[in-house]
Amino acid sequence: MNFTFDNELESFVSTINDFIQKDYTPQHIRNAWSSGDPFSNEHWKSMINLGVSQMILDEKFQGMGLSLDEAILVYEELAYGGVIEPIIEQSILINNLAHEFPRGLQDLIGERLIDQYVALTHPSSPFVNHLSHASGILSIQNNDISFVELEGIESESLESNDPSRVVSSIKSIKNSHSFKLDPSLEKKIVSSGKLVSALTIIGLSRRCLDISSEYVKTREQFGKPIGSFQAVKHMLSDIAVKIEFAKAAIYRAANSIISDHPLHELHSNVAKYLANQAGEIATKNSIQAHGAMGYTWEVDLHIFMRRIWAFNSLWATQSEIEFEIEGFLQENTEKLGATFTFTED
Amino acid sequence: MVRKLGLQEQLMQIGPLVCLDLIQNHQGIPQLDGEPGFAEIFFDNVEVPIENLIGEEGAGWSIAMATAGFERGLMLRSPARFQETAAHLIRIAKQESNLAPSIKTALIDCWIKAEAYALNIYQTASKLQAGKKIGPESSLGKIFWSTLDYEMHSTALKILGTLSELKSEEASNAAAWIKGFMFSLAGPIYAGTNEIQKNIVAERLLGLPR
Repeated sequence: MNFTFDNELESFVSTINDFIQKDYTPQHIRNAWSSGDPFSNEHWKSMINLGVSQMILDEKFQGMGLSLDEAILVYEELAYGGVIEPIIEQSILINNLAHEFPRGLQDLIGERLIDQYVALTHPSSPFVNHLSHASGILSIQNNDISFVELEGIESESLESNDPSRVVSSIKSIKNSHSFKLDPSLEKKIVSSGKLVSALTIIGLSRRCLDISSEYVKTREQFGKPIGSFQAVKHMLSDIAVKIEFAKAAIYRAANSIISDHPLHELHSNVAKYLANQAGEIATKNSIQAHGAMGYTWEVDLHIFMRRIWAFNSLWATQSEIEFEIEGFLQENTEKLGATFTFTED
Repeated sequence: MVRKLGLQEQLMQIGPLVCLDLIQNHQGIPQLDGEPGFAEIFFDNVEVPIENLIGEEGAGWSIAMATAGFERGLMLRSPARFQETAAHLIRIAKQESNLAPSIKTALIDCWIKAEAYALNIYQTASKLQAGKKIGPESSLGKIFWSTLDYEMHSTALKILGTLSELKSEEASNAAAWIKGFMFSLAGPIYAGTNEIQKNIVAERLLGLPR
């Protein structure tokens, strides 16, 4: 596989970055939090118009049919921005796989995928995010995938530690359309979920690192910027190392999911494991580099740290990841090593 | 800013091949593992022909740093070495029935990091193939692999238990693990200590002040 990205995509990433810098500032996120309903229809539309969720949607649904591993930097950049609206989830969990969904389900939701938000729940990601903005819910349970209509639904509002996530738990439903879910497709959805959380955590970790780097350049103590002290430099360098070594694993996981690689579950576990380690050190060292300011509400750092903590256990807990990888290592002891890096069995 | 004209710059200016002829006096220094890997080199009354200069006069430092960049990032430690060491580690662990939870965790961690290192290096190779250059990010790699190398070997010695002190023990490969362990202690030091690498990362990648 090739790990480089073409120039056209890199310029799309800078378009996304412009959008974040202009319309998605930390102040905007704070305003959204205090509004009571942080999901912005206007921003959702802007991102749809930019083609964010359409670019990896299959052409049969009027999408652009780009491959996920090529598009991955775009999503990482949106994660960096701390976007509130669940467009990364919609794109990677639903739009990227929609053409593999059961036929009847495709007919039912196909048109919505172009510009509407469809929520998704699974036992490893059980809460519905921004329910009041969803046009329906895809619910995966016991080898079934159902499209749940919102009419007559009963739900309980929960409070996330990340105010950008407005989560609910579904208590009862009235109308739903169920379809048999191929176990191999369910595995791909779960791998995609791990990929979503891994790349989200890496985007956010980069943001924490950037915020901390800026802060230590300007904050002075003993007559010098604190960033000139080695103890501070080393804390931030440790974050940079962990981020760097999660990136290629994330691109490989994306590549494995779209190419139906038999080890896509392992590859997405590896990506999430590395991202979790990066996220942990990014949050812990960033607060420390800020000193007491890192523990305040007024410094923007926590806007992004809260999302890292929220995504930490979504789609796979640390224990699940480690047990699954341990199981693989136990069963494949003779197939480990450099020879097997890119093999398919 | 003027940099000191150190040995490294002199070597770069005169070139390593010429240098061998010029060494008039050297003295071996035994290393921690008993091997004579270090040496003190003395240059007395050396004259170097001007045509042996590599690059511009006084630019030896940047040439030395470019070479060090390759050494830290790609050339010195191939990813396959770490992947193979991780695989051997998993195999010796499988022969033990009672492993502490901390050792199981270390095994998983080491194997994942060896994968991460390999994938990162393949990404670097893809970038080079696409005409891009290796920069200060090679310092990130040096910190990563040297930490991993130590972690793998120290875990192996814990698994080997009482055999882990026996350099004479060939059957369980303890001798090779001990040798590797001793060598892994040098990793965080050579090619620029990891503390220096962290300074490079902070100053050149993150833009922190000197």
